[in-house]
Amino acid sequence: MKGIKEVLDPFVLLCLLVLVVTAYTYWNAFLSRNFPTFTTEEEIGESIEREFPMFSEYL
Amino acid sequence: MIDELIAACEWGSSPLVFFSENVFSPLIYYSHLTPVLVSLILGFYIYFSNRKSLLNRILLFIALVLSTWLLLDLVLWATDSRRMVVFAWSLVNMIEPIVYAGFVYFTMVFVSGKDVHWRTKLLIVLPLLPTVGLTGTHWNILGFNLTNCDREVIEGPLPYYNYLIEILYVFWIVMIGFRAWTNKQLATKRAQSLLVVGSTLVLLLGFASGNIVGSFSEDWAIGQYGLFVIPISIGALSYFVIQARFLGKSQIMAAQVLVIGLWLAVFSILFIQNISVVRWIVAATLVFLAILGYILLQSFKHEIQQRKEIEQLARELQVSNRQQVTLIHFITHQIKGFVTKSRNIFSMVLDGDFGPVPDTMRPMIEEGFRSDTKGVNTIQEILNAANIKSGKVEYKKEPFDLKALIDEIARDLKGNAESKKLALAVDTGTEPLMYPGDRAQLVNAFKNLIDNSIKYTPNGEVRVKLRQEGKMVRFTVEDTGVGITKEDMARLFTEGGHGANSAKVNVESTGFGLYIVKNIIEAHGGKVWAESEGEGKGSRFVVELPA
Repeated sequence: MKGIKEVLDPFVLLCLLVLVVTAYTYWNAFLSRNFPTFTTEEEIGESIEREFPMFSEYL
Repeated sequence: MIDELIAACEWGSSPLVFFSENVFSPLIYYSHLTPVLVSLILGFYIYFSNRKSLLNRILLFIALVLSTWLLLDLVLWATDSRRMVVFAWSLVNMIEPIVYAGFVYFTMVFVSGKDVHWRTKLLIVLPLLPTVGLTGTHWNILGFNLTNCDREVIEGPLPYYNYLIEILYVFWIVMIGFRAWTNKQLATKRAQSLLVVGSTLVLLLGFASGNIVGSFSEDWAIGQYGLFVIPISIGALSYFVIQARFLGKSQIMAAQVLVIGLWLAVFSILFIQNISVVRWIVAATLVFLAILGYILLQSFKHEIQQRKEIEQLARELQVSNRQQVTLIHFITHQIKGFVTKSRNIFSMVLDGDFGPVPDTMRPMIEEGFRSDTKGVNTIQEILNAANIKSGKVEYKKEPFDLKALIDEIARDLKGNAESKKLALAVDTGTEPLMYPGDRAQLVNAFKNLIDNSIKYTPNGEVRVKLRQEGKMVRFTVEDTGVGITKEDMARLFTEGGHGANSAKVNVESTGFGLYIVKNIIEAHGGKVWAESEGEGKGSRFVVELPA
């Protein structure tokens, strides 16, 4: 059990997750074509209302 | 339409990612690249100085994460690419809380001096899972904001969660500092732990200064000056990690950090023309000065208090020692009186002063006389040592024949040697050897040395030699006895310092004999030493006196 804990160090796992997420974020930002760009305040408001209605007052 | 809006903004291009006209001031390069360079150099230096140290590894981890954040933030100031802004902004949001978590881990390990429990590590990392897991999603970045030309994004709710856990991490670090402050078991490491926690909080304050100042004043430029705190703090932390093994020197460390920190702060003012920036630096310096100054003053106060207590204890110890010496002197004198009286009675009985002694009683009375004589000699030896130590012995130096003295001592001790069937060879030359010294004291010294050799030689011979060699008088007594081990040799001439080996042979030894010899010889400007090739190989004592 001790061996498993040494291998599964939470910080090591976090670093691995960070690498995967970084790769995904890169793909999302540079390779995905449906990248949202807001040109008006209304578009921003609509997007927030649509995605996060609970937080729309704060965002 | 998007392309038209972007063209209207007239952003400068950034082919090298970091460098472009979009960076409004060279200050941004100084505030970002200086901490990156300092963090990486110190992080790797510390790591390679001892790769096995957990603290060194954590510090390198923090240096790498911090540097990545700073470089990505610099990219955000420079880039003209919408996609790059979204990418870098997403990662900046993700990395920021990881820096805080890294410092929680770092301070915990520093204060406890060991790795934290697996569960605690999990507790540090768990709050980061939403942060990292949702980084590439609209929870973090909704999209690029092209309603103005500020090259910014619209953030989702995740950054607010990040701020929340950052505050919690800061509280955690404060709690670690508080526990270090109240933990008496940490002793000398307490001040060090507080310095580390303090430096960490100052670093995080500088790290968050952009967000804090920007949120309150909408001026995102002024907060960048806070990043200048990072190299100073990371330098201080590296210093603490290196010095961690030198416990108890926190006072010196605090003074050094204070001097270096103040010097850097004042030096930086030379290059800043903006008065408000100078105010920020002066304010930060005052906080820095107040914290370290307080620790230093407390430390000095504590040390002065300790010194006073030690001085008081030393005085009490001296009084107690004097009382003990007086008491021992008194007791020894009294016992000597009783034993001497008893010996004299035995002597008078043996001499027939009280009538003829029956043959059946004679051996017992003789044994009583011998035992009392030994007792008187032993007590006298202890008294002599005590007198020498307290400086009460006065040496009356007058010329006398040293050759005749050694011959006389050898004659006296011949019986002892013969009773052990030892050969006692005495070679004192043919001519008288006049020497100016205290005869009575030197009798004591030479008798002690020859008697010692006889006592510690079970069989074989004892050779005594006296010669004048140039301006020195050299006396040697050599035997084929038990010899002296290296361990015993070191404490041979010390007070009460008989060796483990010699104690087996001569159980009546007080351990003061050679101490007295050394003091008497040295009082005559001479020196005495012992030579032996080891256990069972005999020994040789040499005295050299200036002629």
